[in-house]
Amino acid sequence: MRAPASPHVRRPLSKPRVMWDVIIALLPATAFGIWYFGPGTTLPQLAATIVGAVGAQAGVERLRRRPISVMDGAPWVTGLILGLSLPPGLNPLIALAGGAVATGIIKEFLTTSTGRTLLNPAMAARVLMVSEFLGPMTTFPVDAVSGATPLPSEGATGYLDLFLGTRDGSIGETATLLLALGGAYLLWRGIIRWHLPAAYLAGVLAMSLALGRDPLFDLMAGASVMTALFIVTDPTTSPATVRGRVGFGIGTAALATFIRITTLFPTGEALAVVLGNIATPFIDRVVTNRVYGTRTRKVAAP
Amino acid sequence: MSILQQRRRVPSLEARKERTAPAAISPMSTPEVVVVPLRQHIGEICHPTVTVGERVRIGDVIGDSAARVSAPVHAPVSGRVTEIGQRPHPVTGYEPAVVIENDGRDEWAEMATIADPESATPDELRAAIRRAGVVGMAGAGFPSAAKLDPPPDAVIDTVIINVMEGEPYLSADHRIALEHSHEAVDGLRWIMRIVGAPRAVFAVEADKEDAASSLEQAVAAAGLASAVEVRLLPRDYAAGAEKILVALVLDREIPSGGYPYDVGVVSQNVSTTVAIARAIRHGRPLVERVVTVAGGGVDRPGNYLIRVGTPFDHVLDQAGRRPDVDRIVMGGPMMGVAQEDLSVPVIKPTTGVLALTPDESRHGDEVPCIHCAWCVEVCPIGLMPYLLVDLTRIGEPLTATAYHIFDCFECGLCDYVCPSNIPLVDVIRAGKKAIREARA
Repeated sequence: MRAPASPHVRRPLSKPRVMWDVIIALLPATAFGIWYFGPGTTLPQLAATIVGAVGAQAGVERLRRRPISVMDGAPWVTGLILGLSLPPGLNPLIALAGGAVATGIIKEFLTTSTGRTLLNPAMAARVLMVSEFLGPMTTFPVDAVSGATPLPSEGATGYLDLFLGTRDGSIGETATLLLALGGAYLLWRGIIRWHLPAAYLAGVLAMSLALGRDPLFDLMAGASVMTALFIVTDPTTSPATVRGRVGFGIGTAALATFIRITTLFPTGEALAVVLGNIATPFIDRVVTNRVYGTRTRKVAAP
Repeated sequence: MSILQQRRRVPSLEARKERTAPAAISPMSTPEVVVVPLRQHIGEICHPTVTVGERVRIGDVIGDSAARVSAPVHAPVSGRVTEIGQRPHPVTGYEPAVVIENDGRDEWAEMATIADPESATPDELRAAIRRAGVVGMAGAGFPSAAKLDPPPDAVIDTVIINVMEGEPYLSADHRIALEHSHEAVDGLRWIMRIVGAPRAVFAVEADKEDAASSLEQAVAAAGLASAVEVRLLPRDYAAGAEKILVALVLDREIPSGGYPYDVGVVSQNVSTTVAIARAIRHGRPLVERVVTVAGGGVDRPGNYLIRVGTPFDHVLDQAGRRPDVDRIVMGGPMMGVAQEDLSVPVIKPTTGVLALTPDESRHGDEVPCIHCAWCVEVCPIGLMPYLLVDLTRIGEPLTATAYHIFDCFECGLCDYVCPSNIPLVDVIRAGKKAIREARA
């Protein structure tokens, strides 16, 4: 008889299901972006990042003679998140290259000593794209928007527009309400837990107040909600313990908000997330849970 | 913060006890040949005390040891010893065993009993328990007389009787508590007397309410209502583990590397408690036990009274073996051991024999870890299981000791929830082994 090791039963939740759940959660905001900015300036970009991410990963896996794992959904999520962070109307070739770099280089090769991806592939790729293509990556072509939807007039973007997403911005990062809806779905499915998004939003709030700004505006403007729910929660690159996540979330958010407000660097969130990712393996070694039957959280001497 | 609040409860660990929990205990026929391993417990192995060709009756000692942590082994059938040699063993692979040809007459040896147990000393009571070969029947098989012999400076204030049985399918303890509640209370009384504990708790998982009320009546009938509490605890697989149960019932934690008596507790499983009562009252040796036989691979699942030494093949045939079986497991599906060779016998700690179909058991190849940390969140003792796996696999198992790898009792929850199909328990087990070898 076959005699595999225990346990002999398994929870019916697999990695592909986790990944497809994330895609489902992003669909409302994605659909809104396509409708609001128009399919012509959004669909080619989204398709390019996804094709780039999935294709590059498959290619690298092929070259490394590893099993092709792209159907587990992970590179699709990477490609979609990267695509949603891009300005509408970006040259699709840049988007394609960004997607390919995200999985083909950052995800596959920038790994920790235990073989785990170190940086959030979409955010690291975004930082590289901004550095390399500063102009195209920061141009939000108002005129490219389809005429059907009236844009909010310059400078008069109100709370309601911020909440609904009827404003300038990246393809899929503007619709606060729909992103929150997707986040709620992930929370309900148990894919993410509330601590990290809450810590991230608290960090944004705190830094905004510290800089004497309108915190409600900063929470809904930029990519705060997207980052809190879908980006810092990337499990591979965020800490494993609740306490580690709270520290990571607050720190990353404060840094992101600080960069966004006080510097000219155009993608504060992505840069802060990447810097936070670098700290994650260290956080995981040091910020552990208290082990039953021990008094402190300190790691014992071997 | 209490260790219990730190963890995330696991959804969907189905109990799968619909077919076994309502099944009253029924005796299973004895096989023609029994194979009785000389190792059925933690501690020193027994040496054979019979020779090939010798005739034995039920209860005759066939193996014994002088070591403190050991327990004698008795003949479970009457008949003739035909062989003493290495035989397949359900836990360790191979062990010396006494093979007895059953003559079907079921003749019992005379039992040595205590004339007046009420006036016996704790040492005399422990001796009776040891003489009967009683060991922990929940799976680990620690000799009970040794467990009930804490160091003289330990003050035991509470005895916990474990009626949790959180493993899916298993319901042997449930049925014992329900059908033999008076003996369970009697056994508890002896345990309290031996360790000098003034109070005790029957810890019963919430899905065994009938057993709890049966125990409550037995406690009242024995006049122990002021000292013994029957407590229903929420359904939770991990809560049956001794460490977790002590925290749950008394809000105390057994120190890392320590024992329950360090925090004033002695715990016993309910089936063991009944065996202790029988050992003291009747000198009855542990030669049979209730085993849950279940899974989609048998037509007649149930809770069978089975002689020690009965081969799994016989057990499965009697329970209506079906062909579509993926694996045969001794114990529960979370911590049990899958069997290669079905000639292995039922031993004293065999809680269950499960015939799992492909639909019931797990499948799938391992894919890379996504660091989702479900393993961290469900670990009942606060470990970082993925990190222990990482350290073991990159060849740094010694670092894993700093992360308390030896506190892991291999409950399997991390492995159960892993969406990447990583065999965490198996790797952690290998890590522990590598560390022990590196130190040796």
